[in-house]
Amino acid sequence: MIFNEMINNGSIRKPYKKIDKWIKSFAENSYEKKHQEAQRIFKRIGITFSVYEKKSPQERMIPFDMVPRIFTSNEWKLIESGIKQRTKALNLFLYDVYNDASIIKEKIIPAELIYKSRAFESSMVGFSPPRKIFSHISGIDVVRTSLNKFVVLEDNCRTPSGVSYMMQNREIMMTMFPDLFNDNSIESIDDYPVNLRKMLTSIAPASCKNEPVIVVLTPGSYNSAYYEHSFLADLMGVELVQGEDLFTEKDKVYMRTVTGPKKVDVIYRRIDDNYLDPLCFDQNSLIGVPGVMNAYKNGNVTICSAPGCGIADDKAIYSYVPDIIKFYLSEKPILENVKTWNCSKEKDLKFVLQNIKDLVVKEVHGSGGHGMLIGPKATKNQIKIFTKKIKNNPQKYIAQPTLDLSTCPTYTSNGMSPRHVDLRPFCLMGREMNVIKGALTRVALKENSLIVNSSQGGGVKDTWVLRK
Amino acid sequence: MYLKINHITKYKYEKPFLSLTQAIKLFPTNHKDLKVIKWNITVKNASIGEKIIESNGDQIVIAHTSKINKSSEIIVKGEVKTSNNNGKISGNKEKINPLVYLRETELTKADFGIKRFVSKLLLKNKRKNKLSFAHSLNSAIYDYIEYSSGTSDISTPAKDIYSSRKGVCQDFAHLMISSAIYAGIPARYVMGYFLPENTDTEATHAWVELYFKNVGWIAFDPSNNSSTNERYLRICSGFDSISAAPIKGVAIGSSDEELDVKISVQQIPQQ
Amino acid sequence: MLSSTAEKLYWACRYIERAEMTSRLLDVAYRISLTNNKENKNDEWESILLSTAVKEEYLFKNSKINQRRVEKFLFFEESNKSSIKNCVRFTRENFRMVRNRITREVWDVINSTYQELQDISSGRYKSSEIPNLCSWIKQKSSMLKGAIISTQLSSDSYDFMNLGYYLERADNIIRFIDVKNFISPINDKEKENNDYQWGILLRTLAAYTQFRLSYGVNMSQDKIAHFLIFNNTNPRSLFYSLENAKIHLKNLSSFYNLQSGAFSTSRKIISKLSDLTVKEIFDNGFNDFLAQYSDDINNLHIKIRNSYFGGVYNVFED
Repeated sequence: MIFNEMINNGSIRKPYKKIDKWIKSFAENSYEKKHQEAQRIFKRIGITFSVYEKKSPQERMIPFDMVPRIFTSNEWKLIESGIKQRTKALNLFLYDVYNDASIIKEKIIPAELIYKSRAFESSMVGFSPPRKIFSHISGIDVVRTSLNKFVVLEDNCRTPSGVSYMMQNREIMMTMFPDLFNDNSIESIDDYPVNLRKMLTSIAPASCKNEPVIVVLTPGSYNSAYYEHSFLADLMGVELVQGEDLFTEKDKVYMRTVTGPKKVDVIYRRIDDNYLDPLCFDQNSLIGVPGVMNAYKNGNVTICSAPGCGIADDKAIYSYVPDIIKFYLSEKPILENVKTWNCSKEKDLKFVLQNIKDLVVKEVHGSGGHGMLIGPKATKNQIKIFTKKIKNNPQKYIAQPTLDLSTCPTYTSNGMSPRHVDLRPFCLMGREMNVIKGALTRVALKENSLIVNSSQGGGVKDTWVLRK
Repeated sequence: MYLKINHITKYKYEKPFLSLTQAIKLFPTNHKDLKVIKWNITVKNASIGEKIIESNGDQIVIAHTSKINKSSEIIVKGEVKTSNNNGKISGNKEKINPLVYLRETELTKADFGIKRFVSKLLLKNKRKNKLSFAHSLNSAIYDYIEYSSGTSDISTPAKDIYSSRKGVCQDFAHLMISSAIYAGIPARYVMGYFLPENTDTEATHAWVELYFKNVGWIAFDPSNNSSTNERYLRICSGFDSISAAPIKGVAIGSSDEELDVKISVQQIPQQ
Repeated sequence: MLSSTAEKLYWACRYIERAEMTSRLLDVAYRISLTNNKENKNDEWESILLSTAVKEEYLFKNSKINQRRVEKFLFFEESNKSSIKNCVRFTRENFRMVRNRITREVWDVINSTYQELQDISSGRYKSSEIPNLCSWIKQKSSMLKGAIISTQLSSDSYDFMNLGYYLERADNIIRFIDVKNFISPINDKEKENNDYQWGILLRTLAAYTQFRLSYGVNMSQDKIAHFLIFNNTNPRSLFYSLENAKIHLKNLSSFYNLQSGAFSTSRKIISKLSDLTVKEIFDNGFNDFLAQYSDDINNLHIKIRNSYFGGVYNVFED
């Protein structure tokens, strides 16, 4: 039974009552008009993401749906505490695997799973970043499967994107429907940039005595999340830089300015580990900063997030997260995991191959909904091809049962209709921990589709957390 | 044995660069059978940062110059006292779990040919332990490849060496790493100096280290069919020749570079 | 301000000014082609390629010079870095990378121009539409300038944008005068025809009326040369462009409280130009004059680059 977040057992759920009225107050064609208006605002502001088609980057917009997704304050309390618990545990895990490795010595996680993974960054072994935090910003994807059940779909510990959409969605809703915000008591999300800046300030190197100079490091304007990079730099009031704007001298990082070099203390980087420093990682990287890793290890600059975070959100590690929480916090996980079969285990592999038509199979290193098979929706031939792939490289795959993602009413060409949604809340971890009271809701716009990724036709919604 | 090293690396650029940043790892690995008497690195026109010890025990400094220039020169001068350790490296401050070195790279990936080569050898050595298998592998590779310069380049992968059967020390090392990993033995690439028996041989050299439980890292030199001894001076290591490169550089605003290297490794009388 | 930000602001404006100038040149060539005799029909199309410095690139792609192909090459051609379409794209791209330094109004103009231009397909226009397309570009360029003047803070961003405008304009004026030179070397026999062509030139510079207000009805080579080179009220004169570049460099020097090499270079160029007269220019050779100032402008550009775009301590040079 699929949970509909607005209508449960035939009646409108309390948090959605006012929205239901609001939807019904629209005349049929005025809704379409508003819908168009929203898309126009997006286009004018220039909120786009880039996709590569025919070898050249094309700018596209993420479709915005006007019907908000709503959580009560109690529901949010549960999500928030679950997210905090997970982020905390994953950071303890990261510090541990790069230092004492006690979780491996205690045989909670097999050593090979960690050390053979490319996500494990061996050059970070023995390094202790400021406050011992590796993953400062997490975006943990959560789905709802029933009234009281929230399940974690995947962890994103590196540099999760989407926060700018969360903020723009809210901005547009407030511009277009100010009355809604008078009628409903909704938690504000405006403080995200302030909190992000505070977090970045709090992780400045110990050697930095003054107000730290922070920069956002972007791969450039062709990156799919460039809009977000410039948006965040702008709202935090810091410079948006590319690799070529920075250089290192005597293990300190400087940016090139019109009045000469200016020392940089904290780099919020939105480029992958591999491209960060051509002298340490991929030698051919043109978007990195040569020498930045030495500056980092000498304690002259902080990199957010720390290189090597990827080991915590690796899909092969995912199934161990409940054990990780128990091991470091001695707590029971607040948010459950999806049952996961690791094809690297013989028993699991056998089960997966036998039940593939009922399962979702994912590549361990895949992302964005690519390289996955949704068993119940796949053709015989697709299953055949995937079976062969799994047999050839079992350690590259995991499998999960198909989930009944909850639905939310969504505007479609046939009027309002339920569509599947997921949720990405954002958590900051610096001196303090902070989960923003709002999130990015992604919606699969095709009927019955479970794929919410923007690169595959997903849309977004404003997400409300109601005040008590 | 007392060794004196003189190593000058000159880069000449076609167009002048605006800035040049180099990572230099040309320091002898600290371990208990080595005494560093003096060691000095200078880089012309550049400022040099603090030396750090990397997770794998390598020592590294970053040199940077913002002066517009067409050339760069790294000068290494040093004197050390080595002793024979039969390939056993102990006392190197490294922190990485050896299992990390079961990872293949583009250069060390085993293809069907290499896998068959290793399988046959494993079969032949099935009653022996891993360490003696490794010695057999070392000899097998020495026999299999003909030492020949000019037939491979810095980006030739192990599988091509396996099929061409020709190469230099770097290629011997890649094939050995590829084979060892396939046999389940963690293996890594080592770069260092070498006091040759005759003067034709290069004074920088590449060999490998394999890891054995309860024993530790053991060095092998497949291009000489030997272990390492007092003629070897270990500098740095990595997954392959690229990750173990002792000098890496990024020149902004320039294109092709020309390399000129002068090395001498000499035995000197006891001080 | 990041060096790269300053550089992007500067280039954004250079490119839009270049797009505007190319459309003016296209317009001139188009008008001249309507009146030219048959034998040298393609001269103006060749000289416009020379003036925009793309003749070699053009001949790399095209075997011969004809109107339709040159129009397409200058307006739409992807491989021509200075085609109008590319210039608009580069302006938008540069502004996009420094969105937080420009106002919503400035962004809206360039973004919508870019979007509309994307919709105009390179294959579907008729030659007779070229003047319309050109005036559309000129109009958009003016709107952009208006948005910059009326909404941007007059801080360093504004100075870098204006430097881009004036450097590019100075550079283009030299080329523009050159076209006239190429089309018809001045001699008495062709004087009548010559006057007519000077007239077209002034019209496309939107300066015909202004010229007559300052110099009277009769055109002469000396007057026009004076108008285009020395007139300090004509916004499209060499002197005016360089003088304004100097002013913005001075603003930057005081804004940052750092004397720049670029500022002193601009002062030298201006004082050298002030000492010249039209007569001296013609006596010493008009082409030499153009070549020399083309070098001076390029040198000034290099000085600006070294002073502000490199991000290293060299702002104190000479």
